[in-house]
Amino acid sequence: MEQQAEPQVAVTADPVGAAPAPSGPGWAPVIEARNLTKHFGSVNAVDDLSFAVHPGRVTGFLGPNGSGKTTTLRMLLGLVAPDAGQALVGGVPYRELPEPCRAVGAVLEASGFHPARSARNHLRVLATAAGVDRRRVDELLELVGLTDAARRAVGGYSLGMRQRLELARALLGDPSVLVLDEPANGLDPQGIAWLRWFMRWYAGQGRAVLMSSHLLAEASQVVDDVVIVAGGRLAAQGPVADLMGPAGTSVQVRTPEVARLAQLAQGAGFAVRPGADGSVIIGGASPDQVGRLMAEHRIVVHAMSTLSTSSLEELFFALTDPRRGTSPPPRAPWPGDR
Amino acid sequence: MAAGRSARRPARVARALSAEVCKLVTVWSTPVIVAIGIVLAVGLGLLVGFGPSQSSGVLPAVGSSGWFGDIFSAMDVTSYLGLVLGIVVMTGEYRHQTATGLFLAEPRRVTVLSAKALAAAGAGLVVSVAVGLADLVTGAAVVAAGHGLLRTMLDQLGHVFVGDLAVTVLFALLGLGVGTVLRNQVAAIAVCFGVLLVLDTVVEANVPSVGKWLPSAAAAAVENVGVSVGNGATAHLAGLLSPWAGAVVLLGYGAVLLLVGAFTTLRADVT
Repeated sequence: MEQQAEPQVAVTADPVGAAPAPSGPGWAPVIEARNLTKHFGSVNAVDDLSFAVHPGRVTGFLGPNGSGKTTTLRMLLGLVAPDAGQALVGGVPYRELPEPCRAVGAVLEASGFHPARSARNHLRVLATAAGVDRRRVDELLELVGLTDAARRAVGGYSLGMRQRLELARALLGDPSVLVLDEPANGLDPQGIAWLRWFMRWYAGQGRAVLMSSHLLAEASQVVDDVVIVAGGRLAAQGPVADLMGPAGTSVQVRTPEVARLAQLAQGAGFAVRPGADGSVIIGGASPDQVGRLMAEHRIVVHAMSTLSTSSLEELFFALTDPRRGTSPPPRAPWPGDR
Repeated sequence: MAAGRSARRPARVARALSAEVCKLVTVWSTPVIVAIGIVLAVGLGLLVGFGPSQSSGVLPAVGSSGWFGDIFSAMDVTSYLGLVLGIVVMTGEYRHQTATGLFLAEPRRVTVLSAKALAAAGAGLVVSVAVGLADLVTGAAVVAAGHGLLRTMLDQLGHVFVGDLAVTVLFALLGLGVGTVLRNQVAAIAVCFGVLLVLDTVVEANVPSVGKWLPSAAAAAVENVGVSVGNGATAHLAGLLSPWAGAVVLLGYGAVLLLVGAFTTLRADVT
């Protein structure tokens, strides 16, 4: 995992034989969530969520704990049935893909291993089930740096080794899309750096990477686009650069006339997106400009704050946490605090 | 991305079956189960043939047809091992959380269930054949030691083996059905043995007309498939279904459970 050399694994641009997919945000999405909704009992895990993932891009799927990220990824992969909406990969539900492992490779939390089975045999079982040549197993073990431990029982693996084994499993079918749920969990700094390089390299092949993460600093180093969710709903999506705004600052306004203000701000040429707790975020605007706009149109203001969205983390908090402005996060209570 | 030729359903079932076989042969528990079957069948058989019960004169004479039948009757432990194998084939996916990887590799769950049914039946067959071969070697050694005739031994072994093989395969399917409905491995095994060893016994003793339709009695009926009328085992035929009816009843239990599991557990979210 330490070396950032070109992988020695045969990776084709389109493993199912079609021409290399055109890449970039302007091209047809390879993953589409359309109005996805999922309830677990009375808990509304995912609520009318729609977003798209494009080829040639690394898309960060970000949100606080319990915001529905994992449930959404599992719906995309046919493991969880949505109550409403559609989860499409290449235009069809995952379960209808002719060769799913060649289309999508996924690293998910809570996917397990038989503790007594070796890593090599674990991959051989799944390669057989997916109709993949078993010779690829050894290639992938080499890629993720597990060749020396390949014959050991997985029960004795560290968390990081298991994570690398999961990545090898995801790559079995040489897929066009990688879906990674918290892929950096358990990896050491070298492993994380390698993973970051690998995702960029993978997207550079014209493929898509969708990565959920709660490590915003880590995600900010690798993602091109973000999909931010909060409370199971979409908070924002698009290229990171666009969401930050051209001036790098935004103004968050809490007002009873959100829709009217949004319309006026858009009319004035500002980028507008919904903020947390019913607020609206006006991108690329100064407080003076927003204040003047509201005064001219006699819009009542309950609160207004400047967001210096110079980092993905600040953007994330602005969109997902109504209690947080640009101030530093409150320190968790330590033992001994009075 | 979705373009390209996909494998047809039989081919998908075939590769899912190959994966199931690969799973069974790459963990130590499978050979351990086979070894347990051999040790129990041979050990209990020899204990019956040469142990204290024999010297008390209760059992048929040494070397007789009935005596060989009693020795080989210990082979029916394989039916319970087949049951356990069937349960493990399904519940192991949830116990070790390997269901996620499995359903990512093959998202068509009916295909997975079909492959598991074939794998469970095959595993039952392998256990039964392995134990049968061990009993063949044991029987040959007993004959070589001067106890009975080879022909008599082979006749009895053949009779017992055919019935045991059928019950073991059917129990493996029954176990798979239970494991499909009950994801928890320990609960599935406990329920199976509770029903077979306690509930069935109580019902058979008190309401024989109902008891003969239960799995234990149906299995006993199937085990009589190779038994010739006239030997000591015919007494057990009284009150039982015919061997073929017993097989249909056992197959029916397995099929109903698999169907229920296919519409409940297998449709459930994998979280």
